[in-house]
Amino acid sequence: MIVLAFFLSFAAWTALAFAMNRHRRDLGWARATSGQRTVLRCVGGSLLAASLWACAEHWGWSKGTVAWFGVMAASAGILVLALGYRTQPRRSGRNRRG
Amino acid sequence: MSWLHTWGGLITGWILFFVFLTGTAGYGEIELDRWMRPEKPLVAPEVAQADALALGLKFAETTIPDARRWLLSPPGGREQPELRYFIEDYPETEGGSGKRFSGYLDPATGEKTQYRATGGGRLLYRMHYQLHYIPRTAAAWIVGFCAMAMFAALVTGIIIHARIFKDFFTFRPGTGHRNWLDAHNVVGVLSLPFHLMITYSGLMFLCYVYMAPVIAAEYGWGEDNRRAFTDMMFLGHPLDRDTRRAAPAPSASLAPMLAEADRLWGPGNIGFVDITRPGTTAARVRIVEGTRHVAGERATLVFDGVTGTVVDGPIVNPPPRAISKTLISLHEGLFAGPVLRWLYFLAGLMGTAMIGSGLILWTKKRRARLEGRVGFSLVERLNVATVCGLSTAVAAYLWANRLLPVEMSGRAAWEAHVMFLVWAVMAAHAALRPAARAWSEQCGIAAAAFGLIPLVNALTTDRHLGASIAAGQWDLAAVDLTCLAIGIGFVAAARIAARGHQRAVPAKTISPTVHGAAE
Repeated sequence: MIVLAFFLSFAAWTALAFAMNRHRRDLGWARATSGQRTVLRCVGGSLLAASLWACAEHWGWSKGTVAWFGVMAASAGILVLALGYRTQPRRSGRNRRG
Repeated sequence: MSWLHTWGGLITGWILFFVFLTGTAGYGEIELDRWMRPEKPLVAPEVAQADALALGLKFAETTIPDARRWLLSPPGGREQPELRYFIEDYPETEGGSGKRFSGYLDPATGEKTQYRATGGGRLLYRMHYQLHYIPRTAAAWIVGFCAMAMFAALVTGIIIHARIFKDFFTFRPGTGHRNWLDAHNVVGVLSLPFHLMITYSGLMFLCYVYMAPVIAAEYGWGEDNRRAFTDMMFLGHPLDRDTRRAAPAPSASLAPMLAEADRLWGPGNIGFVDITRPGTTAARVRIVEGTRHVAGERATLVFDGVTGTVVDGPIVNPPPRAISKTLISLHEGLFAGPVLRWLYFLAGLMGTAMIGSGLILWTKKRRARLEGRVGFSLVERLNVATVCGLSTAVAAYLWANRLLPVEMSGRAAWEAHVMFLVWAVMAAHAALRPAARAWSEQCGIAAAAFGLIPLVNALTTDRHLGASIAAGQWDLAAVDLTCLAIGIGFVAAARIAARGHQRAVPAKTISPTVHGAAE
């Protein structure tokens, strides 16, 4: 159940990241249409909720809620590293932020 | 807003780094405690709590029959594979405090066990709010001031980082100031609920120091009144602090009381037994549940020590106390099992990384403008000495635990002295070397200091990875493995630092473009 919670949360963050054009561009993907973005965001949100449910199944609601925050931070951290290193070779966009 | 974040964060950052690093290590306090006492049995004997407590009581009765307080924690749960005792004598003068004795007993035989003298993980954990070498109250004020600055830095950080959601997943690895800004934001944002909780609850923890007049308005001034408040705050009922001897009286048997606790909380779930003024008419036996909860109290039973009947009513738990207890429990995370404790540890590391990257970011942004100024170099060197130097010092504390002679007098104190001496040497090194070189060299030293711990452990004890993993003692193996992982992390950091160093040299000669303050 812990592993499930982790993967649900990881999948949720992935969906949310894929809803953002910046990350799609970094991965060399086409821009998302607004319909796609909405779908991905809904999927991401639902998966996060599902992850909370999985945590509560394992730990009970009080500990599970605490653990959920930890699971979210850990899974998002791994996604961020993965995205960062995936896009590293094309590190041209230094001022992309502006 | 940005000004407050930058400067408030800078001046308190070094102490906050210390607090976060030692506090994060504190999540493994019990595991470190065990690792630092390699004389402990590799696999603890299975002993029923009631049997162990009976042996403990016999020990207390024979050692100091006329004690004011016997506190016994039986084996069970994560906390200890043995029986711990704490005995407090009656004070010699009115109002003073009596002599205190504490130690460990073999739960199967009741014999006193001898472990090497060590501060253990507990000392490291205590440093995060008591610091070291200075009085507790002074430390509480220093840590409190820094925690307040931390809280302000978090709130202002959220506000100035307006693109918090757009940049949620953004991390471009590298050594430039943009990359450090990404790293600082990412570790800050991903674990933001933890950072806010830990800072706010940390302030709440010591509110009786910071807000003494508010408490005095309700409870009155003076030590007794302060104690009455802390009893209510932490225990929910007044503890028997009466130090007068009452008339002698025969004691009721402990066994039925323990049976009652077992019946109510399930077998093997006793946290500790606290007997005040034993063998007198005023004797009280307080039994506290072992399991810890996120919200809500550990169950407590109080018995009359002479008649053996339950005396105390329910714990007083008005809503403000319930809220503060919940926050404190979230801060300590004592209810966490292994997985959740690792998540706490990870969140703590992210907090530490946020502070460290913030300190580095300050120099990255200002290098072009301020390089060569005294203040700039001071910050840069303090950064090296704190981020790498302190980490190495923590590793040195573990080295000292293994390498100082077991029979040495003042051994436990010297473990800590070694830690701070190593920190001083690292600070001197940081001051004397060019900053960029100091970074890569100290990352290398830290990598070796942590990475070699499993080896030092294997050479000095028989509690090495081969033994602990073979016996399935993962909490023991985890200390070695975590040190190894941190060592590998520092190898990676050393490579990044070396890369940054190579880039920094030509960049300086070609008059770099000034990065404006991005925040």
